[in-house]
Amino acid sequence: MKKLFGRTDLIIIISVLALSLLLFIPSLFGNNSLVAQIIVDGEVTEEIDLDKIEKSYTLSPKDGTVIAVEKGRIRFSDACCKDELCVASGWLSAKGQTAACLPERVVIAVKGTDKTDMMTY
Amino acid sequence: MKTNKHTKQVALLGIMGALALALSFLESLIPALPGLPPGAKPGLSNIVTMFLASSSGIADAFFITVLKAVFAGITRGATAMLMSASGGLLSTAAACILLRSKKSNIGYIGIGIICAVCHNIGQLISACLISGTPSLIFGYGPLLLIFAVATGFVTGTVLKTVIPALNRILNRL
Amino acid sequence: MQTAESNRKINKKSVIALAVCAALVLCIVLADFIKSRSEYSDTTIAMGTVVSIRLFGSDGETTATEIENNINETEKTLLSWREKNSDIERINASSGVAVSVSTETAEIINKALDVSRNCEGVFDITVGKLTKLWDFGGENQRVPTADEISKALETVSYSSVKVTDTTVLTADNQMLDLGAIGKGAACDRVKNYLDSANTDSAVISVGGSLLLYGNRSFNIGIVNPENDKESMGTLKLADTCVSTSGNYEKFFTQDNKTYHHILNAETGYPADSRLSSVTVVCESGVLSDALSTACYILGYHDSLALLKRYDAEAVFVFKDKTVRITDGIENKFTLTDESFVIAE
Repeated sequence: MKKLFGRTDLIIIISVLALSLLLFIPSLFGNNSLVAQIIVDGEVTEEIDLDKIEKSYTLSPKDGTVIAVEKGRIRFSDACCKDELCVASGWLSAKGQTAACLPERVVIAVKGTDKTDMMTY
Repeated sequence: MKTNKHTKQVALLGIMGALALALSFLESLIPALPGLPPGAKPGLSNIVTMFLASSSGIADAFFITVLKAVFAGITRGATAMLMSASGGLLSTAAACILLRSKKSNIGYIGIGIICAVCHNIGQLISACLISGTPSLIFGYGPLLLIFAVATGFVTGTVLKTVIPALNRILNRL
Repeated sequence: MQTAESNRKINKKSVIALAVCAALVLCIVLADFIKSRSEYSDTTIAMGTVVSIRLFGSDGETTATEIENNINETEKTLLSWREKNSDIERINASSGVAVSVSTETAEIINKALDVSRNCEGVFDITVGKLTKLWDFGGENQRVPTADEISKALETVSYSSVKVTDTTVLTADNQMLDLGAIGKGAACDRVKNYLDSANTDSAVISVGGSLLLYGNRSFNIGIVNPENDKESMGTLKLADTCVSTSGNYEKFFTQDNKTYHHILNAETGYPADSRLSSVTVVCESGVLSDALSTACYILGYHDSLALLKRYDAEAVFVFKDKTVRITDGIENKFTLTDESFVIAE
């Protein structure tokens, strides 16, 4: 008949708890990766990992729109349309945020590991 | 006499199956615990499979494990079935190896903990697959392991008391 | 342990049999599961607004394309007063003659009229003349003169719209504007379409009006009225429609006064409300759109009876940053921005 509790059992408990601690370590360094998608005419033309940006830069996915990219954030910085609503949207830096230039059909959508699936506005 | 034995086995499986399902149902009444993935349960019904693994047979233990998964599938859907099957099969396999080994000097509490850990790891892996986010291992893993130590302690202690008693009944049948 | 000994003999074969069975069952479940969990997401522009789609099920790509077509179709054939030959354009062009329309249009208009009847006309789809006058977000947005407004108000009267299953009759000069419920109507149409598609669950945003389809529950962020990039709280919901009306959506400032786009159809002016937004949860997209507008205008206390009537729930966000939630979804709401306070 097996015993109820012995030295081996103690070792098991300690190692399981140690493993639990080990798994907990990465959570201390929150790595909420942010990926910005640039969508032109309904097609994703570019995916940018915003956390891995070292140097700020701009890009122009379509004539008339300029997008500025920085570490952790992205925005429309210039547009040819009159209202410039997309520019007024400002910086996007969290998951689920979108900015759109409707006349040019360019959308920036930020995806990540945040908890919100969709926004209502 | 042979038919008699066969009948005994069927009856035993019936009782154990009912017990496992009752315990599963009981567990499903426990609300989702904060910090744990939805569907992760203490694994009380593991006591049944562990008893079968130790005293009846490997096949019986796996039979009840599959039965539990099917029951989960019928009552709570495919996701629950996958969670139950992945956790159950892994922990039953561990129970079979540890409880049937003559050489191992791991006590009931140790076995209970290892089975609970296997159960939770299995569920965690399927939770990662279901949600498509492997990072759940880090989000849920630590708490699940601590949780497993606690539940394993309970199941191990229960087993130690229950197995000799049930074996006496089995032999008298 | 005689039992165990003898069992082991019988069990060798059954172990194999069981293992095969278990593997088979697992494969079936796994296949079903992979099918149901494969996710497809897409963001595009349809109906003049941003459409975000997240699908769980098979044939994601074709389904997403079909959804976009359905949304565009909603605008083209039913709702837009800019599109030639849309039902609404033909109704508006008619003068005192019944116009034959699709049953879908008739149903949408009926639902809107029903809401109007139950909110004493503060929400009204016959405000076309009025909205054209204010022209929010358009090139000529301005504060109209009192004279212009009272003239436009004469044409605003939901009770003079008569709807049968296939025809709509409006008074002479009357103009329908379904802008407030168009996105919800698109959601309803998409819902109908999804019933025939291989989709288990989906969440679709048509310019902020949401369709949650299937059993999967989604975390819905309610936009912070002061910062439209952030959410102030989340709702965990499944299988319903969600719509928000807020004063931050479209507005302009003239003579140091800010005018937002939610017009009280009784007064002809932007609703004077203590609210900054109302989010309504209701099984129909048209209704949740209509109700969110009506509730915004009515204010918190007068909205409760209206919501109850349609079995709808709501989250009210006040200008002073207090939040009120109706009982039915109270436990589904989580505050994510600490600067807001849930009122007792």
